[in-house]
Amino acid sequence: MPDIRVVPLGAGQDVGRSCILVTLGGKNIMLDCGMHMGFHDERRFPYFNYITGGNGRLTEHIDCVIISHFHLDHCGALPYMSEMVGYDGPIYMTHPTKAICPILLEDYRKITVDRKGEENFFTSQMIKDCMKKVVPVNLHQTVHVDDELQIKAYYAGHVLGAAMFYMKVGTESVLYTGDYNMTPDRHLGAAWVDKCRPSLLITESTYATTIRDSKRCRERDFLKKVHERVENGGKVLIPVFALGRAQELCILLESYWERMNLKVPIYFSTGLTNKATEYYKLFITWTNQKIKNTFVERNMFDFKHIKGFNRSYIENPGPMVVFATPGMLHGGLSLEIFKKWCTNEKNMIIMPGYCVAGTVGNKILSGMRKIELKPGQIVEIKMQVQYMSFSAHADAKGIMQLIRMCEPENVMLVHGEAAKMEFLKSKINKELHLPCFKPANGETVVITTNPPISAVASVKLLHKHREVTGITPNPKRIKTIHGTVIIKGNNMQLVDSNDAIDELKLKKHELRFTSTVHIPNIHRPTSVAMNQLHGHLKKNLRSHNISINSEENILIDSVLLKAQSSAEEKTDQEGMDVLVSWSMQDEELGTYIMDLLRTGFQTRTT
Amino acid sequence: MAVHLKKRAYEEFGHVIQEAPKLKLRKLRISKPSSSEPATLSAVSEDIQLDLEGQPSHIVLQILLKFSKQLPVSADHAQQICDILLKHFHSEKNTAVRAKIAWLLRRLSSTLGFHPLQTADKIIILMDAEVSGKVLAQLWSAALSIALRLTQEKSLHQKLVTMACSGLTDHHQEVRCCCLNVIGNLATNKNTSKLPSEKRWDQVNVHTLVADYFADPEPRVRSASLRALILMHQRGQRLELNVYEQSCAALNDDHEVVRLTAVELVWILSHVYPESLVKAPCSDEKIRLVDDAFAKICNLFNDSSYKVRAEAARLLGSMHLVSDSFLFQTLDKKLMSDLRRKKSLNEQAKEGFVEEFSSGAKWADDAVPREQNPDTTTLMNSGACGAFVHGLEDEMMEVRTAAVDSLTELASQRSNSSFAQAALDFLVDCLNDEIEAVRLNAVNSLHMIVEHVTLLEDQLDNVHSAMEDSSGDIRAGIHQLLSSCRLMSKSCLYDTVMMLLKNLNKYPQDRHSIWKTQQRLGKHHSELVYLLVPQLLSCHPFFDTSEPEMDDPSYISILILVFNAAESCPQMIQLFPEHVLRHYQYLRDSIPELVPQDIQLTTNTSGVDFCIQSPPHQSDSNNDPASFLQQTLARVRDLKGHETSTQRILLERTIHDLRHTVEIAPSLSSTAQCSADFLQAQLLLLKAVDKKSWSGSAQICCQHIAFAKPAADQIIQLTLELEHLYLGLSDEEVAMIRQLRIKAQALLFVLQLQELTAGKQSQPQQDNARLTSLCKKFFRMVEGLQIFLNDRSLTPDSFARTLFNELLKLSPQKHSLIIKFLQPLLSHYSASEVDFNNKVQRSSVVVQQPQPRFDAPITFSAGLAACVHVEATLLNVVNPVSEIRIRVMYPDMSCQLFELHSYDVKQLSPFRHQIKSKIYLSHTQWSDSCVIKLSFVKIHNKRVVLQNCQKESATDHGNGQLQLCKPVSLTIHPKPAIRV
Repeated sequence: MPDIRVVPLGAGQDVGRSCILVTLGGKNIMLDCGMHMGFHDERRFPYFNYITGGNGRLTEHIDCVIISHFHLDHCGALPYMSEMVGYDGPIYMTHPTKAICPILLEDYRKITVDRKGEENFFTSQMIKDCMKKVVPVNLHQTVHVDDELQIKAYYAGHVLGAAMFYMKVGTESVLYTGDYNMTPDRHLGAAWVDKCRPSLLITESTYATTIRDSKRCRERDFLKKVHERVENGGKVLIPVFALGRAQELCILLESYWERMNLKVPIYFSTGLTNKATEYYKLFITWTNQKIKNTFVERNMFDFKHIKGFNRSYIENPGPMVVFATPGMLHGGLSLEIFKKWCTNEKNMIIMPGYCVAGTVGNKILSGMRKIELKPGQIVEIKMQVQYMSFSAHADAKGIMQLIRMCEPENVMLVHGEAAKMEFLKSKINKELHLPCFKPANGETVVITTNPPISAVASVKLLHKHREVTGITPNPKRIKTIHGTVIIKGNNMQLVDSNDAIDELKLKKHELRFTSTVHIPNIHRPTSVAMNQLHGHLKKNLRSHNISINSEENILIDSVLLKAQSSAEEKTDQEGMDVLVSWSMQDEELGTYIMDLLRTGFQTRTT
Repeated sequence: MAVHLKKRAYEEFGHVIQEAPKLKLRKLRISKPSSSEPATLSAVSEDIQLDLEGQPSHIVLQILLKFSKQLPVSADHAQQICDILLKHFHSEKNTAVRAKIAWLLRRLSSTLGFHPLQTADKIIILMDAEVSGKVLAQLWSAALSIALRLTQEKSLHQKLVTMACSGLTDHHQEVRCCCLNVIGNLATNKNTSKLPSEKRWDQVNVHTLVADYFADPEPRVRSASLRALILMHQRGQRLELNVYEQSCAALNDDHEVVRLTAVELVWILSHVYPESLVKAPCSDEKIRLVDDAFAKICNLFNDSSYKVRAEAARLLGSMHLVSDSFLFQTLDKKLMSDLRRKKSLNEQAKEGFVEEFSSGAKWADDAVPREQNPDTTTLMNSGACGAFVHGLEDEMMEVRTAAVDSLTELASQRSNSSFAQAALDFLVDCLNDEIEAVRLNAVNSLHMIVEHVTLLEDQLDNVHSAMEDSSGDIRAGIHQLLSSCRLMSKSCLYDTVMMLLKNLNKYPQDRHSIWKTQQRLGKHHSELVYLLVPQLLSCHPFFDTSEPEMDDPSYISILILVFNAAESCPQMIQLFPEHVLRHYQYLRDSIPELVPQDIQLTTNTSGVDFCIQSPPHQSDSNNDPASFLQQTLARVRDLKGHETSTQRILLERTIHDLRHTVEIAPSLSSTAQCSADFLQAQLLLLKAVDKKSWSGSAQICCQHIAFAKPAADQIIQLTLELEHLYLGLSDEEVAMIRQLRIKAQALLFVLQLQELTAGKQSQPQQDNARLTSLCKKFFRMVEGLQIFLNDRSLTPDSFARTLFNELLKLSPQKHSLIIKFLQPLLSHYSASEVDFNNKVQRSSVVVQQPQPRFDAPITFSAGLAACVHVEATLLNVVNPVSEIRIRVMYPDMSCQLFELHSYDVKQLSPFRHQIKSKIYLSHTQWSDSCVIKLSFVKIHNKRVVLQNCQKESATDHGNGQLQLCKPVSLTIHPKPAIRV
């Protein structure tokens, strides 16, 4: 039996450094190649030695690499893998991902090497070399990696350019979702996939135990809180990552400002974001309906109310809204602004996403009001702290919806916490009746598939079948076809059994079942009884030829009913024995008639 | 279908080209370039007869194609050509040609006046022998179109249906589609055909037979079979219940078209058998069919095609019979199959509602629940669950709009308001949609259901926040919403009032709509207002607070609220401070439509009882103004029988009475005013053509001229108004008015001629030319009237007839002759009766903005333009953009017309338009404040208007404009130049 093997090198019962190895029809595919935010040693990258065994390059082990989107936990280890470990094969990603990915990698490199002073890290040149190996793909474009392996990208929402990838070798296929979002947001649409019926679906499960309130609720809350603050003259700080949510929130605030005619300034920390927004302007086809439609008149990413931020604005009086990076408040501009503003109760900070334990963001979200920002300096936080989940991952319902949309044979959960996965897994088992896996990192899952076996059916057989079963595609009637499978070398043939006998020069045996049924309550003599029986059967088996011959035997197709001359002493009793005989081919009809004789007749006569 | 077939015919034609040598084809095209020439029909048929025999297939196809461009042909030829085609069909080997022939047969059989019954029989014979699927499909559609034409031929229908039933087994998908189409269009419930070869265990009838094809391997056949059942339903055939399960299975089809058709069929079945019981999915329970169908359609909100989603969303709205438990599910994503009652978001928030799933709204809320009870937490896919939540936040605007509509419909038709209450949250959330059309739709939808429910505090908050929208339509919608809703508590009302005031501050142009809202709020919530009076009026128990300014719009809006509440809650009057009472008197007179007229205000704050009387009622002695109007008009009915002097007195009295009617009966005012104006014009004419004064001495004549000229002008003005400012005048009535006008114009003309001939001696040359031009002008008017009457084939009255017959024969140069001819004609004039029925409606404009204010001038800087917002309601105007202008008259009597833009005009109801526009006043050299007059005018003569666009002519009627309202006087004041 053919099988699909999956080994997560990262993201197995975990979030971060997504990297999943799939062996599909003899092809090895690496899905995503990310880094882990929580580690600063070699654990931040996937354990590539697992593949190479510590020596040699990856090229000979891996046929292709697929990157789902530009978040660093999905592509952060790419230059390391391709340049430092060594991989020269193709890397597939969508056009926006290819455009934005190097910016983020470069930024990541700068922070680790220039700020933290780490050595033995990939260089700018390596990023460039790595990007040269990238093959961009379009949505719904089928790319033939080699003669057997083909891949296809589907829209995934989540961030600009995020895609789900469908891989197929022969009859086996795998759909890898990457991160996706089933509810559309202010700038992106919802993930969409056709009924591709993959053998295995590998889906993320970040929010496996959440079913979100309506999106509008969240947006409304967010806008109301921001509006209220700025109306009271307070300042609002929104720490964001440069890409993804930032653009969504910008669009949200921008259109709200426009709609409400507000004049309070909104700032965005410049740098990365400007560059990224340029790309958002370019890839309008990847955005949602509203932006696409209004694009002709005005590009929504040309913000009217949002201006670049300058450090000197921190001290400015009066209300303002500031988007600042990084999102978890673990350094940089956002922390700087936070330090200045946190002591005023008029101000507010809105955390729009996930915060890793240990960051300032995590601390304030867990309710700490006194925080040691610098050693020995404890600050009391008076500003309001709000959490707003604007995470663009599918919730439990969205995951179920995707599973139903693509109708896979098996489901695998990755990119989530183990306990939450377990919960969702039970749901999937129970409600969709699908086998579900949740491997840990390094754990191999073998999925056996049942590939369809094709056989050539003879025309003669089909004609015969058509005559027997009728032609309408009546779904209420089970259609079986009787034939013989002949396997000659690699090809299989389905032929009529008589032809098979002829071909193989075998002797024909016929198998008949014979049984005797005692029918009580039937009038003697036999001829009357048989006629009665005939009438009864005719009523019940309308669509069959039922005939009674001269010897008072009833023939229903090939089923023979014969009155058994029972022992003389029983003549005074009512009832009679009937011999029923049918051939192997009419098994179905035969058993039906047996049942009919056993039950149907008695009730009628009494 | 025809397009489709044609396209296919061409495709096949393309196929032929490949086979045939190209050279030959080209030759043909050159040799027969006459396709564009209109060939006679007989020639065409002869051509075909000649050509078809013995021609190779591709040439026949060419001929047929050419012929198909000449369709339709007459009925006689149709028969002839059909015969030729049928004959050729037998001998033709090429399938493309046969298909084309079949197509032509279909087109020919639809020829008017051609009875194609015989053709149908022949086609049926052809079908038996035909093997090619494409040709067969064409033949089927030909047969169908014939059968549809011959509705009475039941036997033909029966025959076709029987054939189609057996034809369903064809290999070619198009044939199957066509057969299903035939069955759908022709079969009745009686057609229970059973194929001999078919072995089935269950009963067969035409529905189940068609339903078998829901599972056909070809998607087009699947959708055709579903469509066939829909067609049968539309033809009034009762569908079988047992197809329901199969159609539900089609909802999960891989193909969009099939799902789209299936959802419609399921919806139809849910209306036919709402109460039948079907097995619930995944359990042994039985549920109502309508509930089951509802859940299944809801499930399609997760469909991958947005068209299916939108269709599902659209259809849900009309499933009124669905049970509450299913309906409530649609609003909760988390609700599982145990159908417990859903709590509104507010309730959940209050209770700190804990679910198995976290909502993701709180930080670290998504820890794994410890306890899992497998029995209660199942079935996330139970269809209806959260459907509307999904639909309302769908990616596509089409789905969202449809979902809003459906949700509203479901909520508003429920007898109990609990669903409406629950749905409110979601509709309110839609006020925050990114697309304005959806927001507007949400506002209007809310308006529909808000009568059933009470707005809770946090919902109100959302409504309030939408009020700051920069789109005026949405704000107006919210104001309307607030004015018809019920508020929960005192604080709700207070917040609402404060928000309205804030809105007023931010968007002063909303003043009128906000005042109206305050009025309604006051009326609906008098008890709540009572509790808030001290707060609202900021009274202090011990100190007298400063008296607010009377002109402050927000103060006025508070007063409107309070006074309207006081009408039904008189005890609050005790709480009013003294100045409020004074202000009441003022407001009662200045904005009578917003302030109740008769509140008994007494107060003893000033020590003396001081009572404000309500204004005296207009006594309605005559209880029935309609009959009064009838009586009044009856007086002038036989006017001609009276003496001239009596006529005058009668007319004067009648006009007086009619003017009175205008005041007392608003519903009849249009008719009364119209009649009065008409009579007035007649009266004036009577006086002006008075024989005695006309033919009297020179002095009397002079006096007469002094009276008659303005009278004639006035008549012309009145008749113009009558003609153009009233809707619903019949042609006869317009003719009457215009004939009256021509008399006035004749009078004016005669007077002018007399004047000029009297002073002819001074400058004979010049005067002669002027006289001639005057004559020509008058002649043109007469001709214009003649054309008008002729076009509508109306008989002119004696005066007009004489003009047409005699005057137009005269030369314009013979002035004296014309005077001699006209003068006696005019003096024979007598008034005619009038009978305008009550369908007449006068056009009018109510200006809401700007209001005349002398103390607050509009200031503007020198060199810049000042903007004035204009808001008005137009009544009884057909086409405001082209007919209505805003006229501004400057102090130097120059006037300027402003056109309206189509986006300024919003239709409220038929013949009722709301105008919101801006006009920009450009300045001339002013240094002092001065008054400009702004009014609405109707354009009745565009040409004239264009000519004297800038200059104001002496008489109003000369410039092609008619005033629709009293001019509003505005003071504008140029800002003094700033000295640096």
